[in-house]
Amino acid sequence: MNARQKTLRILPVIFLALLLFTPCKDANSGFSDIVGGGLGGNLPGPIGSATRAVVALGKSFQDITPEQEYYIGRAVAANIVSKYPPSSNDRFNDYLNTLGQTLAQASDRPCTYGGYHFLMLDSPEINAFAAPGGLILVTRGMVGLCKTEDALAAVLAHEIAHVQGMHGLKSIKNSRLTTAFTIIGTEAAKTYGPAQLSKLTEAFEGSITDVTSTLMTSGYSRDLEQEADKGAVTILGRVGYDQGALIVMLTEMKKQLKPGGMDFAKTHPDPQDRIGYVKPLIGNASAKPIPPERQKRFEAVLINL
Amino acid sequence: MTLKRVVFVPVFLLALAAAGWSDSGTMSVQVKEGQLRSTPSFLGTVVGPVSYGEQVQTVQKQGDWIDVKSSKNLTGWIHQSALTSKQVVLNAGGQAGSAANDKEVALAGKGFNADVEAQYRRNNGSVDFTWVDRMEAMNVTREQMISFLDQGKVRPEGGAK
Repeated sequence: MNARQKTLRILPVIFLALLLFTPCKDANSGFSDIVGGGLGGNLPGPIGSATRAVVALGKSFQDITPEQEYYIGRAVAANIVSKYPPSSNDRFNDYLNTLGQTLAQASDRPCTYGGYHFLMLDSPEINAFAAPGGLILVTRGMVGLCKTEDALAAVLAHEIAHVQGMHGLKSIKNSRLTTAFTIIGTEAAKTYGPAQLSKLTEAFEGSITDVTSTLMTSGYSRDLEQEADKGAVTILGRVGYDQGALIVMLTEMKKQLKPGGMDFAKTHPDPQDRIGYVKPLIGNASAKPIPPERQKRFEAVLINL
Repeated sequence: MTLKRVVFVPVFLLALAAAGWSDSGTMSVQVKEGQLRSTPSFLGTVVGPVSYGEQVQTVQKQGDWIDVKSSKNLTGWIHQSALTSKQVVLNAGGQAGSAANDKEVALAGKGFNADVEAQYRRNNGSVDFTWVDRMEAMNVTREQMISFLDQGKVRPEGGAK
């Protein structure tokens, strides 16, 4: 076989390889094309170009950039702090941040736009909240349920897992996001004009209401709570805390939470139910004894809480 | 040079380009302040910072950590959650997004941003951000984490140092 014959035999193979390796058109491009055509496909000049491009800059909560998640989280946290007085116990808040930020580094999503930060709320109610992006708030009542650092770590790890899973963002109605993504696409200027800013702020306010009401009133689905408990078990294990502390906390909640209460009982599945699915995650791992040094420092920060 | 080689080499390169390999080594920082570390661990020494939108060249990957070279020629490890394969376009305006789609770019400062928060605060005077700002100032260093773990005899998987 001469060189020309060999080449002729190879060419179909190369052609097939090209077909296989060429990236497919985005499966969702139909949606983008429809929206793009409707909003700006016929506009002339730069604005038209930008419009065609940006209409595809988002479809669901997953397209919210970490930067936008940060601003949503700030406003959600501000709303919670406006309803629950924050604790100005610097010593405890420092401890809470050291513990919480260390745990967050062991999560699957240690880096958020603005990082993880923690604060105790000066309320006897048993509750904890995770605002998108990593602002985590835990009440004095919840801290009071914890008998060990490992137990408090379990509470924080559960909240970190909600941030990791972007659960808060999932509660935002699609209509708000559609408004935001559309404006991002249609506005060509570096800063927004009054009309765009007004529409964006309206969508933002709606988003904050969606997330805040989910955190404070309706709660997440059982599936998301289970996902957060699973994430918590993983984080505790990676850092070296007793994973069984989550079951200890749930058992304590079972004793203390009143059915029909306005706190954690309202927004979370029954602790007994949660114990049922957490136990198999931990398996036969034996409980880790709490070193006296750890217990001593924990009890020290609880003084005058 | 044979005809086979003349035809095959360029076509093979074309196939690679079509597969998207040519740009697979560039990622962008998607967090406000990123840190490069000497080892693939949060307890690794900080080599230097990388900033939002900065493009980095990827060298290798180990678990969830990526070894990168920054635009300032710093090399170090960074967790994959701090990076995006999209290009982060800073100060987007005009035709910044003209060739963009959601698979390629993220426009920094667009959508829910500082201007929107400011407008939200004007509309909702009872919502107080003072404590949110205080929370964000509560930062813990790598050294504090190591010391905290050590003093509490907490033993992370893979060791604390």
